[in-house]
Amino acid sequence: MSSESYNAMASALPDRQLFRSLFHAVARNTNNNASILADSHHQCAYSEIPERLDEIQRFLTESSVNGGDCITLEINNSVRAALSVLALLDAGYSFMTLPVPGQGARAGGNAVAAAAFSRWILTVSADKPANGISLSAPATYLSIEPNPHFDPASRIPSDDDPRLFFRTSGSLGTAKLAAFSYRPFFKNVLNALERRGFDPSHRLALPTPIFHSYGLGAGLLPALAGGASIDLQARSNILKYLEREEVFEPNVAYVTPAFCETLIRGRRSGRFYEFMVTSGDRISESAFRRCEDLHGPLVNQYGTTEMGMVSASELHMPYDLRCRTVGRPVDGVEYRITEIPAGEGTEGTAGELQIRHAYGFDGYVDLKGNTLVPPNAFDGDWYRTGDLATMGPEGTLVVLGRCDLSVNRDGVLLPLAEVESRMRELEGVDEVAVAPGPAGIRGRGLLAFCVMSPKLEVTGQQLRATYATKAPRYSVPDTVHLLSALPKLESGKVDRQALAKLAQEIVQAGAAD
Amino acid sequence: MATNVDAVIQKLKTTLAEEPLLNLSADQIGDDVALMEGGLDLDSIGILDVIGLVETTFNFQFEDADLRMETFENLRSLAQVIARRIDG
Repeated sequence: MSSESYNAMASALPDRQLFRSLFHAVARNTNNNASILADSHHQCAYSEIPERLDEIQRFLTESSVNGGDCITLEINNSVRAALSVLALLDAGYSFMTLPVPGQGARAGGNAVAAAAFSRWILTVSADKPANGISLSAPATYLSIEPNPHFDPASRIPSDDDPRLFFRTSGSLGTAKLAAFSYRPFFKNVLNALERRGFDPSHRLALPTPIFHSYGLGAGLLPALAGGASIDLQARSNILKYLEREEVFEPNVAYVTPAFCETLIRGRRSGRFYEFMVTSGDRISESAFRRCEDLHGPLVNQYGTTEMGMVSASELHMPYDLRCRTVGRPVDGVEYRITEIPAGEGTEGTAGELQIRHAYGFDGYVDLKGNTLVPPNAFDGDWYRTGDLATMGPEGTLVVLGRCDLSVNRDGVLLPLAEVESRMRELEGVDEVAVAPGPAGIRGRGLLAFCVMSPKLEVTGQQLRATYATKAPRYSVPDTVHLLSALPKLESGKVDRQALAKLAQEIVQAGAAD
Repeated sequence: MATNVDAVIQKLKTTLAEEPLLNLSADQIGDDVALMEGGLDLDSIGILDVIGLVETTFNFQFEDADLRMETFENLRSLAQVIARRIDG
């Protein structure tokens, strides 16, 4: 079914029935068991989905879960995990999604699991299921426990309608929950379906985690709605990915820029895809071209946990637009680009991207379910993305990096992402992150941290000198430091707080010398 | 003469131990210790590093068909694939 057909169907339905209707339509309209959910252990034909969901819902009822309870769902990508998410959406539960914590990690690994309004913790078993696990017997792969931090006096932050909650850490590490009503989330799914044009001929490789709004709302659900088959890959690496590629034969893939770089570095021969989709940090131009040489067309998209999909490029766009922009805004999105406040440098037309989205989130809540309005999150009714953007050609949007990760150098507003992108182009640089340093003669100082390929013997000074031959002088970092690994958050993003601390230690040590 | 797998294993141990980015010592790297989960715990980037190191050290290029979990299960499985590639 197309996004128009689903839109027409949805207009007459209450929120709680939106996803149930979609899943039943998918099951009816995909015939011959051709469309499947798959992982390295299991397959589930779309025609079987309603029955699998009924079984999971029966398991929940028999475990004393009430329809009005909020559930914390712990999942990694698998068919079992996908069915569990679908079952909760189908039945109209309020729930939040989190990764399955590692061994003994519950105390600290999933801090948000302690949300006092979540009554249950539902965990889908680990990635390597033991013998005896059956998709038609949820008790063989699901475990449910009361949340030890549940507070009976707390209430789910919603009226009668169900909500989804996504953890949102941003790149600076402050955890909070973004609450979504079902209808705007559903409309977000249709926006993604409309842009990607999924149909039953598509076979999607999905290594991006479905506990994130991107993997779920822009990947799993729109592909399912279009009748595409989906291969769910947990904690993928180059070896697992290539193995699954041979078995599942995908013709579409959703990859993060980091995984895109992994494929470029790791694979030894090209393999054509109908298209690949990337989202998140900006991908360098050389990586974009190399990815297209190996896999065929690549399209960028941009979104946030709070707004869902905001903008997406399309296959028919010329190479330059696909490479440099995140395409045109999707249905329901209004945006503006505001000037960066004076003192931060206002040269050029770049500014903060602010969004109003008819299908955006309801707002933030804290762990007790209380409404949370973080300072500077909104400008009136505009959501402040914190991302630095410019308008591109033909109504497109160019996202340059984080506003708070930009500095003024020689009077020019310089996104750290631009320096990182240029450094990544240098031979042997595997990973790079740049942190602001103390003010100097050019303006704000810059410290670059690089992880190098093995066997390439180069010093930070040499790397800096090479960079200086290829980039504007104002963008040359003051110092370059080689690390064995960058500090990372659980989400895989660079831990900017840890990096800033490291930069501070280096600067202080330098001052003491 | 066919390449000696045990000799390849010894060369692999030295190569991996000498690579500072991997942060491994030779006595950590047994012939049958898992390279990834439950053993040396090489992550996604670590695997890429090992692929590059092996190709440079043994002067050949893997094919995509070699890049499988079973190849990188432990040093012995890796050495067997290397020996096959060297022998053509």
